[in-house]
Amino acid sequence: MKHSRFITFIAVALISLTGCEKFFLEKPDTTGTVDINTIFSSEKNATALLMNTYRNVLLMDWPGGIGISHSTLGSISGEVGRGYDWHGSFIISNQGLSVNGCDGSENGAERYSANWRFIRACYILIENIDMVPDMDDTMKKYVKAEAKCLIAYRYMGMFYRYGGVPLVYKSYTSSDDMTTGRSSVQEVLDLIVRLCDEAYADLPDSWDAVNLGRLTKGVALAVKARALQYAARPLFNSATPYLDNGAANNLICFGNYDKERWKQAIDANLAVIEWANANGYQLLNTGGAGEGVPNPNAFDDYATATSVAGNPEVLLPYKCDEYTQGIHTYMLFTMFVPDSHWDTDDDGVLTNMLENYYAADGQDLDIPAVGEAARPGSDWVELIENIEPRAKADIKFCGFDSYNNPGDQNWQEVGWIRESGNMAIDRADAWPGSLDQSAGCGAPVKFWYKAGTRTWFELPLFRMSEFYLNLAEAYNEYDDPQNALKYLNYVHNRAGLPSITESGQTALRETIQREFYIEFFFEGGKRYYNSKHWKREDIDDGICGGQMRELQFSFRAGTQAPNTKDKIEWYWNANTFRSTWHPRMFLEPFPQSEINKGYIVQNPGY
Amino acid sequence: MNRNIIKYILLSVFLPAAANAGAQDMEKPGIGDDLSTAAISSVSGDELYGIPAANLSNTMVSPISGLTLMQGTGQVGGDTANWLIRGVGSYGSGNFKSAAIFVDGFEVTEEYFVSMSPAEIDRIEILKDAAALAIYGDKADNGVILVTTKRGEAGKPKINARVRYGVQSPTAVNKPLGAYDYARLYNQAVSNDAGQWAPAYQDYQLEDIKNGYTPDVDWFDEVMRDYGSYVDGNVIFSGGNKSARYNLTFGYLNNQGLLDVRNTDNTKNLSYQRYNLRANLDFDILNFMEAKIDIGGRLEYKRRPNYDIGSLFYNMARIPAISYDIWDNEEKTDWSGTAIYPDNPVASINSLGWYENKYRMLQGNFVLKERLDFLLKGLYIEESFSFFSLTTSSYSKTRDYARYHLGVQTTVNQNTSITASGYGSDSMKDWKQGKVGLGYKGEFGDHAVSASVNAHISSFQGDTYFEYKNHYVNFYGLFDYNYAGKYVAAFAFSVFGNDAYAPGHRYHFYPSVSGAWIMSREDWMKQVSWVDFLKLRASVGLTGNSYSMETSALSAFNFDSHGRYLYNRYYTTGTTGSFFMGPNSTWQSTLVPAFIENDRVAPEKSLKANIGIDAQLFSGLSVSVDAFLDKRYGILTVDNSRMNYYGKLVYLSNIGRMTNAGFEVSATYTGKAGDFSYAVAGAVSYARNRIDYMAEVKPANDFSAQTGLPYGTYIGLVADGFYDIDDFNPDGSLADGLPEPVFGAVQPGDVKYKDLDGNNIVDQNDVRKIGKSWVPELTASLGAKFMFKGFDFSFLFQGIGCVSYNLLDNQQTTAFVNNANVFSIADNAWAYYPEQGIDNRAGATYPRLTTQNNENNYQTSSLWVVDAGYIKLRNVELGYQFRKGPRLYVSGQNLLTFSPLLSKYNLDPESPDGYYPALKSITAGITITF
Repeated sequence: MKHSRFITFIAVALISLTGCEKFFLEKPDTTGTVDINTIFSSEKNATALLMNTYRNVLLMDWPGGIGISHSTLGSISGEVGRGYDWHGSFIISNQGLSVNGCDGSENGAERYSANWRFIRACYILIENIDMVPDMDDTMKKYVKAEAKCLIAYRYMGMFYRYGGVPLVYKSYTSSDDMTTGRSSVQEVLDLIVRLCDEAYADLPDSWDAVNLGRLTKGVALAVKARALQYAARPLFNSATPYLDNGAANNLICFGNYDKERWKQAIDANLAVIEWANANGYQLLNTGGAGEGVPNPNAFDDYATATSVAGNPEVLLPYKCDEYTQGIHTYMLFTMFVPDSHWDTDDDGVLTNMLENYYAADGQDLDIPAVGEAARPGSDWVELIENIEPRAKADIKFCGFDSYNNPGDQNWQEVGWIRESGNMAIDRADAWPGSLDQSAGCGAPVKFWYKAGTRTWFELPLFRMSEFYLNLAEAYNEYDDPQNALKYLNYVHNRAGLPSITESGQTALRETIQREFYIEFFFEGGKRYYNSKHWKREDIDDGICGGQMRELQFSFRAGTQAPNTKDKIEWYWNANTFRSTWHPRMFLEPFPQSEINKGYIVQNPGY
Repeated sequence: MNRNIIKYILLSVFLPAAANAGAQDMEKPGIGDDLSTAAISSVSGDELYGIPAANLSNTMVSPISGLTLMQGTGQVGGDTANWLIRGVGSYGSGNFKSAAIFVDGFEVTEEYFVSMSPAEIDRIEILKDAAALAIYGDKADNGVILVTTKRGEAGKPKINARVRYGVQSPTAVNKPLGAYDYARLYNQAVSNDAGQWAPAYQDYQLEDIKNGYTPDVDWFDEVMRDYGSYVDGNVIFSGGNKSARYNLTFGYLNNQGLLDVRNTDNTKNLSYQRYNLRANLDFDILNFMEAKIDIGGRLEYKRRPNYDIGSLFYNMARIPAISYDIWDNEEKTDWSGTAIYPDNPVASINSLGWYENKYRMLQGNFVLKERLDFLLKGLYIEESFSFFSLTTSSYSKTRDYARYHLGVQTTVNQNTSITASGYGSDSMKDWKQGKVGLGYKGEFGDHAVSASVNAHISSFQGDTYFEYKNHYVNFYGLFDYNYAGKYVAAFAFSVFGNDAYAPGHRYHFYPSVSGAWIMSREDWMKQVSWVDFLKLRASVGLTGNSYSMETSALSAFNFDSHGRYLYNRYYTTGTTGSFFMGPNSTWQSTLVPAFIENDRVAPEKSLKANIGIDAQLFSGLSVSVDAFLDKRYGILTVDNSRMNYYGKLVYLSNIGRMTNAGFEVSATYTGKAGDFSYAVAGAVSYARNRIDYMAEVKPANDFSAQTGLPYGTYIGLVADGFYDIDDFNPDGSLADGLPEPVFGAVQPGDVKYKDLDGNNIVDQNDVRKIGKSWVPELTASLGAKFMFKGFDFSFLFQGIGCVSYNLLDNQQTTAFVNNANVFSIADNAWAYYPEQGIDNRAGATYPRLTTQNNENNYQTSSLWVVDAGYIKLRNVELGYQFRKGPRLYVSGQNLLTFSPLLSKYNLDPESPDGYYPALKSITAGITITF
């Protein structure tokens, strides 16, 4: 009896204990932030997620979007100086690309893993947007298409940086198999094209004013066009890869040369131009001079196209119009923002870049060769006053006021307060090679046309001139020099220069590539990637590697600031530093930490 | 009389480390002291009282085996010590102060514990092994600190009054060099940067500096007074009868800091005041019921000048003596200050007003126990409820002052008149806990059994994201059996439910088994005359830990949840910036996924094994020895092993493993010769851990890996002296054959590093273990007490060893860089200017001076990582007990420190970062008992 009472008591006690347990361990009321159900419970939150994917995905190849924390890709492709000795660009220039990170990167100048983080965010959108109760079906369709196009954009970037990479079709969960290796170059290209085609079908041609800046059909075409252009270029479109990769050659090239790849590129680029012309985008040429004739408004048109927000030449801008985006730290060379000049001291324009520009009459520039006797300052003034309009819009030359912010003291020598070139003041003994390097012949000021004291600019991610030059290149390779010249001259004439009439395929190839270098100076690492995919013979001789050259200037004794051009006594050209190049650097290395996991193979040579 | 005093003191001051004095209760296994199977060390409240300190944690330097205690800075009101139980077992919770704290059976916060008064404490026990810890479930991995407050005893009323007064001063103040030395060394620094002798201060200027024509301010002297003070008084009333007993404690404490500023309406010294009140009441009701009602309340006030104390000491160290005088004019109306050094330290404490934090705490426990002998003899149930509330608020009086230099105003600050802030509440925490338990205790001949099953529910509510509301439920039980007081077997368990985890993964089971053999009660041992008591113990079991530091990887995503809620997919607006739309660039808010969810996240587990011996020998020696092994697994870890294309967001899972092992020895010896009696006690604790797996990204070279080393081991470059002149070619490039460092151009006098992987480049791939961990492996203490007639004299040494410190963590190490000051460590810098008669190449211990950021020299390297062990004389005390009267005593705390950090760098090893100094003190007190 006693015992049964005891047992009953215990049973009652235990039941009452387990009763309170459910009540007690519920999902917490709050964790301080939003979970996935909250995100997709309102259009507002879902849009916020979309906007973040825009912000992250689209920042690629520009400061903040590359791996290294300091400097630009121009510093490792012969456009500008290599930066301070602790900048990632300096380390890469010194040592080449590494499988380990430097200056904040994970590998070389890259942040490999960020691609996957952003692609995952896009897939989460695609998979969950249908849950949003207050978003209409059209908008849901748009969001899915935008997400697809953004995925394609990142894959396009990985395509030209790494070659074949793993293919991802969804947002993985913790239980998914994680052992996929790299897919071939062809499979990656196919995925990009498929995603672009699907996005094109569902994206709108235009957005209302509130949503201006979101992806359109034109962007889907542009991503596809750029991807196919890279696919047709010699690095991938070849029977033999740049370095033998054994059984894995299909990860770094197509394994054959197929001329039809150029045809596909032509069609894709023509499609962009056709769509653009129908929807209000254009290669900006307001001079009204007609085809084949130099554009009298060249400076204004080119400067507007590269600098002004919302101009019709830009198919897709990166609209992060705020100081805190930090891009100005490496691309704004004036002194009016305190922290904008900390990182640009050693990023002056190199002779290697300067010599690409034409004189205003279409002739080559007459720049002193290294070792040649110094020339008087008056010669420098004459050289620059007669340089083509694009150079004037791109560079604030040593001693000159910048052309692109006329009348604004912040952009003139008097308000510059820092070296605007390799200057030797009061140094009668200065002679070639004896001066500081890396301030070059001037400072890049592209993208800041009439910017005044604005601290941001909208990065032109796709600018119409790209597709014209793509066509010029593709037609030339497709043995159609007539069309090649036609599309080249669209860009060349727009820049105020007389038509090019070159006809030999090799010579024309060189001329087209030179036009790319000029037109896209300092613009999203184009010189860096294009040179590699063109597989240029001289890539180790003054482009990505090899000898870098800079102009140096001596000023008359007793010169006081401002160091205006009239006070320059002599100028000359000098070898300043050498950059490291190795053929393995045609493609970027994967992070060693990723290789160590054992599922993907490294690109050859690393 | 004499013997009673000795007995009292020996018992209270040097309790045998492993024995626990408490009677049977539900929180600890074991039936009485002798039969405990667990590894528990303990210390009495009276012993803690013997170390005068405002913060309870600083009193725990006594010989408590298994506890490592480091006192830290003496910053009044901010001086909580760092402690560890059996070292660090997990990098996941890998930090000091990770043990859970329970007061009278209920969990409390650290801030409640550290401001308890020793007067209200009966004893503190440190639970170390699985036998003791298993019932604490998710709270137990890193040990538990168990506090029991004083209760009344039946008898005539007793009043115990104690007052003491102390003066406190720094153990070591590392002052910057004076104006002349600053200028002399600055000349070297700028010359080194220029590549030739290019002094900033010419000889005549140096002469002026020497002759005192320039400012030469010792900021430490100007800001600090020589002594701070300490007053502590408390009164304890206790007594009662069989049916009602009471113990009432009232305490007051006032601690004044070291700042040379008076307490006025407009200014305040750094200070801490505390009022403690505790009433513990026991009732026996109706012959079968016992009730306990405990109320503890506390008021605390922390005051300081209206300037952050850390920043104040940073400025005192940073502003060169030569920069400016305190006042910019002779009338002393204009404070000095410049754009580079805007905050004049003397002005900071005098002319900014003051700031006060107030804390109000209330803890109440109510316990009811009913004996159910009418159901079954020995059966009882116990219900208890506890609440805890902490409210903090602040008050301030603020003003500002204009800064001048050479008659010119240098900043935009203006002199303003003082204004008082409104009184505002800052935060509030609530903790409500309840327990119900059913127990049984019985004897059947030689067999004795005790058992209990209990449920403990806890609801915590705070103010931050992840503390808004936390619940846990703990079902636990204890089963003990012994035969004839010789053989003991025990089983304990916890089924712990925690709302941090996904449904279905919230409950975890933690069992332990343990046994003891009291050998000395065997017949064949009874003949061994020198053995009074001998027990062998062993335990093995499982514990858990749900608190994790690893979610700090998510702090950029505002999700540093300490391991909570990782099962759900969360998004954040933190640090993601915005995107713009439309022709007018309209700002669009953004959200970003914070991490990859993992619904299988669970508490980290610890498999603990312990063997121990407790012995009393030779009628006076008490020894306790323990050896332990702690295998951690399932440590919540950022999984770097997943392929990036998975999505490369932080993914946390329970994959880490560590091993921690060590031993503890503690001993007490008491003796007596006529009127002279003495006691000696010491303890040595050693714990060494190893990271077995932490998903570390494989470094380029195996020798750079952290895995396989103790947690926190310093890894860095191996310094190999300094570059000399002949290491360079005439054009300044490094000579052939020398590896090229990648941290920027080097020149003579820069630190040379070993190229460990032999690729001729010195970079971060050349790092390896260069010292011990910042977690000490060894703790030791030794104390003694001598009594002769009414006199008593005692001392206590305590120290730690097998520990390293990185001098770069001290702001004073890096001279001149970023307008920093220069300290004596840099006085022996490499320098070579033969024409100036400077050649310090041979004996240099510091790289060449520079004013520029020098990435090469200030890398973490073996040059900077140094031994940080120490021994301190924690207490020395002389007292006299009047017959039937008061006891008077004087004592000193931390009067001696032996440490390489102190002797070589003038840094106190417990507060080496160069902020508020560690303290020593001299105290006089009186104790009166009626």
